[in-house]
Amino acid sequence: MARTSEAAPAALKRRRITSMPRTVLLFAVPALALYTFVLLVPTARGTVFAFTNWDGLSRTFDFVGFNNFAAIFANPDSVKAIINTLIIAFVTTFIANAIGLALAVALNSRIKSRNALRVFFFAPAVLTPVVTAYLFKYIFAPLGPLNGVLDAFGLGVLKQDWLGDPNWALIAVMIVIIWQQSGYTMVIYLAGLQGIPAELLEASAVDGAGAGRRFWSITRPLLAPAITISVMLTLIHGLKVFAEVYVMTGGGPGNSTNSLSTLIYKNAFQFGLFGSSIAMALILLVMVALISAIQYRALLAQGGHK
Amino acid sequence: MTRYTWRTGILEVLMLVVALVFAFPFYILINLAIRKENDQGSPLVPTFAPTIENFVNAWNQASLGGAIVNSLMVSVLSVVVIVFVSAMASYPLVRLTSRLSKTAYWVIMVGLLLPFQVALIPLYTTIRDIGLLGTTWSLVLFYAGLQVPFSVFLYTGFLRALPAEYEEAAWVDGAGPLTTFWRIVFPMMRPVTGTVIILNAIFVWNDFLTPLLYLSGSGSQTIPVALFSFVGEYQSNWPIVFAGLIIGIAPILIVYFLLQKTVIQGFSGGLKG
Amino acid sequence: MESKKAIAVTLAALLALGTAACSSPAPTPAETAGADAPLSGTLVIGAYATAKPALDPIIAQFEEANPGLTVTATYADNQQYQAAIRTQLSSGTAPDVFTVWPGNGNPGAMEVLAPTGYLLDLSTIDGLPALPEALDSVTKIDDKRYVFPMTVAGIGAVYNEQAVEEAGAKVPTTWSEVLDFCEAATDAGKVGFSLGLQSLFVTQLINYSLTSTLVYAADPDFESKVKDGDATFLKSKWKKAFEMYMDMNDAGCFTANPNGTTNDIAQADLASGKALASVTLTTTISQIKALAPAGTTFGMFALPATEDPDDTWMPAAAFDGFGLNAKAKNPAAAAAFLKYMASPDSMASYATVAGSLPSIDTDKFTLNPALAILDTDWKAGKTYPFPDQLWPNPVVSSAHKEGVQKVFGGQASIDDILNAMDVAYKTQ
Repeated sequence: MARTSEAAPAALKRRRITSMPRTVLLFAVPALALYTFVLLVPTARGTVFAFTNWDGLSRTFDFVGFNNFAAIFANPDSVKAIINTLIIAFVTTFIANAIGLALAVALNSRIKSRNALRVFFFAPAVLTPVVTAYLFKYIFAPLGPLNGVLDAFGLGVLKQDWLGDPNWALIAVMIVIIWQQSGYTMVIYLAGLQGIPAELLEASAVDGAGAGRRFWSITRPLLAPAITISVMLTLIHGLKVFAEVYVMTGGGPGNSTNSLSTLIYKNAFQFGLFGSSIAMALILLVMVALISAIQYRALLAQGGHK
Repeated sequence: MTRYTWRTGILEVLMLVVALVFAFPFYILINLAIRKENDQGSPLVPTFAPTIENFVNAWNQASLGGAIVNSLMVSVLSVVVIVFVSAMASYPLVRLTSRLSKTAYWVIMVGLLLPFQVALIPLYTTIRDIGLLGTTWSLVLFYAGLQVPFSVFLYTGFLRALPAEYEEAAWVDGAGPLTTFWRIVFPMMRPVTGTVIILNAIFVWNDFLTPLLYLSGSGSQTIPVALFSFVGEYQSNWPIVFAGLIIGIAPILIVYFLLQKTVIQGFSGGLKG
Repeated sequence: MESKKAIAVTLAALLALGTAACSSPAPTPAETAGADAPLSGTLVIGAYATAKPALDPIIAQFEEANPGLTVTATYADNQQYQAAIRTQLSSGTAPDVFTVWPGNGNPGAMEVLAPTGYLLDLSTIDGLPALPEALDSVTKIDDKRYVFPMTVAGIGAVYNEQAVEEAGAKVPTTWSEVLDFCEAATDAGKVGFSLGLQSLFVTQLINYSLTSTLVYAADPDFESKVKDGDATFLKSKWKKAFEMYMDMNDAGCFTANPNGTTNDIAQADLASGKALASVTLTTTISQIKALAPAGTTFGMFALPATEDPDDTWMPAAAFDGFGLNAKAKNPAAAAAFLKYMASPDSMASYATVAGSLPSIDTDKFTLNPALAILDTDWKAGKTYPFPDQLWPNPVVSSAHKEGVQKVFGGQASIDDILNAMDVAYKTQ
């Protein structure tokens, strides 16, 4: 039952069925067809626009080469959106995974409320982002509940104009994303933890390993697949974030919280700069792909999920 | 680990405190939604004289009934299609060793990364040309395609961990691939099917931008869009707005509470690869 | 070069952007509307959400008068509406009658939509009443009218009469009295002008008010000078206006943390008397009234920018505009509906609900006393359109609105913002 990296190849072999006729691949056709129709073909068609000045409305447009891309990097507001997207993605991924892992470890214990709490902590991930964003917009208002709580606890000095101060607005947005994503990661880690045989941990406890040591040298490596999936999913969510920013701050104050997705939406639908927004979406695509590849390799190197 | 010690007790208290912090937004949401409209008290003070009036008003004014029906239809149909095509696709993608199968797998995985903003506009014109614009079918089609990569990702992860012996026995007994899959493999994948259902249902129910574009002008709406325009109209009337928000998220929360156990099980299967 | 063009055109066709392919020559509305045949079929109307309370009753009456016709109206929030209408127009799925913003400044505005051929020239419709000439600049392009505004809205300082009295403040008629007004408010523990800058459209209102006097009244040709490159925002009184905006901030005129405050909170403060006044669109007066305790009354003054009360102009503009789809599926009904909306009764009822003046003066309209100043200034010609209606693209307005937030947040200087507006003005 112990799953070491040497055991993996054996498992790999066993899961293939060599006698299976190749025609079974037809099973994949409906999925592939839908996927091609909805994502691949339109993406390819859309990509053409990244090299044009199409305004989303006119019947004609001109090809402008790489001008759209150059313009994006020359505009401080779009550079800001790229940086914001990276900050949001990395910070929320790191913190939401740390919190999720901590919650999972704590709830993978004998505490009586564990089942109720598991259900509860995942609930924010179920909420409609539009709802969450409105709720937090209210909570973060200058005279809103959050500042009210800080006052009540005598922490008045910590009060902020959360969404109005450009230095805090992005942090406020990230708090909301973390609130939503922590439960999501917790569930993945709980699943991973439940796959670790208790005897293994007990055996090492008998050997005299401390709790921290036990976690680091036994639990952590065995959790690698869970970490890979969880980090990948939160990272992709962070890189694509839209509703939270759009509803809470609209990208403001003064463009300080725009993400690539909100800027793409704004440029395309408010300014009619379709070419340049699709160029921006391609930059987003390249960023997501690069970061995922790096992250995947890094975790693979640690003996993670294959 | 196996006994409830004083350390476990401390952990329990600590976790309840953390839960309280996480619960704060829910508290505000509910506390205001059950408050009388003219109550000017702090949102932090518990509402002692609750009323359901806001829910009644929100229900009547936001025309949420039709939106809930639409959302339910779109969610159920989309999820059924997603489960059907993704489960089937994952079977050859995992069990076949051919190069073609591997390529197909990676082509689908690329979809996890594609920002759908690029595809949104060109797809809109296609949907219009095939005459589905303004219908809930356009959304079903869109979600079914959009969610294939993520669902195949979950299914293949789970299926890899399933030993192939049972199926091989069936093969030997001369069952065809379709029978083998639907009779033997699909039932074994039940936990991950639960995960796929819940996560996709959550996504479809909550999506905002797509219904906004594809249903616009048709008179039918889904819940997030209905909520968005409702909030726009009743901005400063928070009790009624929050009551509306609660009505809008209730169905998906109920489904989640009913199916919550399988979420964890489904993931845990997928992590054994 | 030729081949590139050819590829572009082919692509356009391939990508189904060209609605030309699927449209057959249809009779023009002028021809069909002239006939007295009863209207039938379905008329589809699309409008922004704010129009709903004013538009719904008119639609109901119109349906009653035309029993053979079914009217479906859909409403969407401003930004959603603008996004949707573009996509729908370019895909041939747009409504027959729909909201079009007069002038320019956003993606749903006339200057953006008309050149693409999606808007019908309204002068082809017989029997549509004439609009005042003052509205031509934002409703016509090359002598063709593309948008029919139902109302004239203004931007002014709405004040809570009881709160002003309690605070012992005096309604200002000069710039220094504005600052006195703020001081009186502060002394009474109130806010002079509530300000919710988190709602992006609010950011521009004070600058528009101040520049209508300082820039546009003083030099009626300023806009065309900017267009010709003979003037810039940076080197104009725009800078002075922006500085005065910030002087008001320094003098403690505004709500604390305006960047984090939404407009509905600002309105609630004005309604409850926590704030004495608020510079706002006249269309919001009815909302503010609805929030206020019974017995509260409101007045409005034009925000002064100089020491001579006679100098003061206010922004007033064609509003609640509607256009007709050049490829309407039911052109006869669309034209008939527009004419119905333009009747004195509909005009009066629309303006009353919307809280503005009717774009065509009519006896049927009873003036709300709070709008007296707008009515006076409008008739005296002491108004200027909202500047963004005349700007060449939406990016200028966006640079302005986000710029105000940036200056309030200390992220940029006034010069940076005006410069960004100048740059945006020249591009495209």
